[in-house]
Amino acid sequence: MNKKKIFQLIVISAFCVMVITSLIFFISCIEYSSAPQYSMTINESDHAVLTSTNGNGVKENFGVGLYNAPFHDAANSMHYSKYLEENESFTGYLYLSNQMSEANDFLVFCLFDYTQVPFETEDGYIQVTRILQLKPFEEVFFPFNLGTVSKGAHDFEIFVIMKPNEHSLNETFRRSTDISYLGSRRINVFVGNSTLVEPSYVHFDPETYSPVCGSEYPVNNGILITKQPCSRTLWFTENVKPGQILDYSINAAADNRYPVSFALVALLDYIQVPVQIVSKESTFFGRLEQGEKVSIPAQVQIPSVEGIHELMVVWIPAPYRKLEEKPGSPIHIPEGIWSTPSTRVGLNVTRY
Amino acid sequence: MKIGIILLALLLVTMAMVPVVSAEDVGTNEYLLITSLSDYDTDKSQWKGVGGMEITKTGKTLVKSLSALGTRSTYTWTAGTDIWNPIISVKSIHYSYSRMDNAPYDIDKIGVRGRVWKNNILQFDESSESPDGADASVNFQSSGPIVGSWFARSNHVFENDATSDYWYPVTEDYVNC
Repeated sequence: MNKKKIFQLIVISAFCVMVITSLIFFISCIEYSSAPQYSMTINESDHAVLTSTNGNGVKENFGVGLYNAPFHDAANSMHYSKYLEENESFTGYLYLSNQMSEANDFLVFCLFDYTQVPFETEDGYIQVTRILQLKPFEEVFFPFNLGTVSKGAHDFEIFVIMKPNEHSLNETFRRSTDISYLGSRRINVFVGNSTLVEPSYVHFDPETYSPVCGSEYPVNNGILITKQPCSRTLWFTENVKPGQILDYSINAAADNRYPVSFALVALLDYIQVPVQIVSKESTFFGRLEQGEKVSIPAQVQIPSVEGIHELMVVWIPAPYRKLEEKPGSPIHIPEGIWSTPSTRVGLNVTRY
Repeated sequence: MKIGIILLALLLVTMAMVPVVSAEDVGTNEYLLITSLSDYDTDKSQWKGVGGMEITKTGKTLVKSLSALGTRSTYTWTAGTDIWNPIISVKSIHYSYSRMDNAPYDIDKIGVRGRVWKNNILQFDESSESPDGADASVNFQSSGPIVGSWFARSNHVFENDATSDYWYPVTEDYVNC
């Protein structure tokens, strides 16, 4: 082979490498992110929200607080615990701040010891859920009364769900619901001199429990609900028949750094339903060791009314843990006490 | 020899085209520099995304009470998500931070959960929560093929009992490769 041919071969090889590289580059990056940089500033003066700018891209932005009186200050905050005398009613004020440039609906419900309970409102109505309509940047104090509660130590959490009346099956909306549109505040409630007692947890022994997701499964310290066990594909909608039993999977995972005990609460149209129909327990309590990832089989009975129904599951870490040493001095819990919602699955109920 | 020269010319043209495209990718946005975070990519130039979403919230707190009136200082909470694609990967950053006078302002609880999907398949899910801290962040770098629609979301938590201020915004961003 002469020098000329060697030179040609080198040039052709280099050219081919460059063309392949360029092709890979063009194919993979033909479209760039068109997302603008959204910027929204809420100027607050003594907690009064005043202005915002260019908040159109923000889909969720609200604040939640729990107070003993309708004053937005630390002196009236419930902090993370409330102490009641026997036969004293459990009352409080939910502070809700719609920090967005458009009006929004928020659905309120309460879990007392991880069971959805009715509450009385100022107008005398007793209900399990209540919708609040807030104007742009409006903030309200919403009084609630749970009545007297039994002697002992309890967990109470008040939840706010944004866009409860949105029933679009549109993929973009469904995807936007994962880990979103939910805010909550949890406190310990003590009636008399009591200490918190943890529930009996389901332990997922790998020798007896088969749906174990591998360590490469991407969920950490949370859940992903899917159609198949250990799937990573988002589940948005399902066509179902009235009265049908629908199986699905709650893939739950501890963080790689610490174990987690947790409660799972399933909601159908925002009303609590059993996670597993067979057990009939309203709440599923489980415990996972550090890095452990499992798929929990779940079922829901489809309502008889045709139309779109909403299915979601809430992950509540560290149930029945003391949250503060004294009012205003929170205890650090590694896995957090941050309740996180699953994707809101649109169940399209039709007879045909 | 002629073929070699033509191919060499084509090679030079091809090489010249690549930087034109990548210049768009880098963008010109000034980007956040978050300090005191040990697990961040130390190459700050790689943080330059093409936008992302960022929200800030400001509030006032009494910081000195020596005088009769006291002094009120403004604190700023910032929540953001950015996903972008450097040439052969996809990266995202999910961050919450609290500042007062450009210095870290510790609050009771600050956290962020970040998730990333590619074509609606979950790729990444991590959370970070700091008690009595001013920063929380998680970040992601893809491995494997990047072609597809990438979507990143962050769920943020800011809680400060002293100022009775609680904020739970969500930010998101996407990139198509």
